Amino acid sequence: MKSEDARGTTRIFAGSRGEVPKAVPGEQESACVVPIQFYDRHANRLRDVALQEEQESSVLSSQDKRLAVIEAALTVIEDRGLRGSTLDSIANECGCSRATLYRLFPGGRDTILNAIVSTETAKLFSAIASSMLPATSVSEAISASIYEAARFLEGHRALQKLLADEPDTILPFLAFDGFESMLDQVVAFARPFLERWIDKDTAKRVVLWSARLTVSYLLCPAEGIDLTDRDTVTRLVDTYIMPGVDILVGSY
Amino acid sequence: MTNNYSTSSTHRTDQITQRILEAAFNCVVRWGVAKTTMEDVARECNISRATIYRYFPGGREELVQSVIAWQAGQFLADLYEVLHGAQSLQEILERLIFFSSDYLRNLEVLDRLLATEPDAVIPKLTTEINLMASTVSGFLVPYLREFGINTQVNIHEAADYLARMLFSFISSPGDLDLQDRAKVSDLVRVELLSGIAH
Repeated sequence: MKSEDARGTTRIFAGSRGEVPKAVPGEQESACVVPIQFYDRHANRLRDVALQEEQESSVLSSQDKRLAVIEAALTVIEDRGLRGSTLDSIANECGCSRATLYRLFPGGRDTILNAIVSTETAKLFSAIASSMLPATSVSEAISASIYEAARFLEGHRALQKLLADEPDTILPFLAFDGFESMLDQVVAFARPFLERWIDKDTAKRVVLWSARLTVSYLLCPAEGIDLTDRDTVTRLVDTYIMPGVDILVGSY
Repeated sequence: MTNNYSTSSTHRTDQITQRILEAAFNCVVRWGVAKTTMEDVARECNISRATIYRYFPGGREELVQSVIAWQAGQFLADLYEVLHGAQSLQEILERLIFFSSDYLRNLEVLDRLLATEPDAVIPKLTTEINLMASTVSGFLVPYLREFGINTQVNIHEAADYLARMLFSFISSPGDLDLQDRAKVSDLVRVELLSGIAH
């Protein structure tokens, strides 16, 4: 829902319950227990709370609001990078107040950034999952997952912006210990898809192997190897990974 | 000019560069990257700040990057020695993994820096590792040629693939123990060479 607030900013959504008495639909003007002049003389924060209350009746669910904040924060990161993504700039982008952001994400900026990592990881995993489901063989499933992951990550504007302009903010997650914790997540998520054809241990090794290969070629591209090209991925998988899968399947 | 060492002044330049790099390395070991200043390095090697800036016009940034590159160069020189005399690709890669993981394990400064200043160190290391990966891939090519590979595979692409996987496994081994000979041998046979060896 969009509406205009006193500063002329477009609001995507209204605030939630609790801070000031609830507004009754149709009575927004009189719903505030404190005279509006009070807000004129006091902190912006209080005015924001009241304005959000006015719009109480036209709300999205909390979850939708959180998602809207995350989308807005991603846009800000694309434009200004991580260091430029202050709570104010995020508030400005989604047309809400800092108070609202704090209510939706109690830890403020850090909580929003963590939420971004979670939602984007979930999006990546779900893209990979839907690509692996229709596969009819291990080789197809691996190729599909690498291709899908590459397409998602290469097309992820916020991620690419950080890799290009502020690598120090993102590389700690993709190298050394940070990479290991990411690999654990990838294994937990992707292994079951391969267990349709191969045993658990082989599946784990193959997932780790594919993830290492994908991250390496994405972070440091090699001439002639474009993981967003299906034929290239199929060729790489068939050349370097499948002979190893055959050894493993034969030996367990 | 016929070579780099043809004049005594060039030789002297190398010595001074070396002294500065060693001093900077010592400072980083002692205080970390963030707390090492040009002043500290100057005091450590007894060379004036002005002279250090003459050798490293990019200042602190360039000096830190050069220290990492210098250490990486030393590592590669040692690695070259270690690989000498290996009888198969399998053996080459096993030795390479043992040596590198042992080297990294004993590089206390790296552990300390990764723990205390990951934001400062990891991007520099990642850049350096990418460069080193292409160097490693370059020096693997002759071994691939010598021992022979699957004729279906392009030798340069295979060397590049090996370098990538080596760096990935060595820098983030996960639950793999890279000092366990049987595990490393298995890793080399499956993840590294299965598609490449003939």
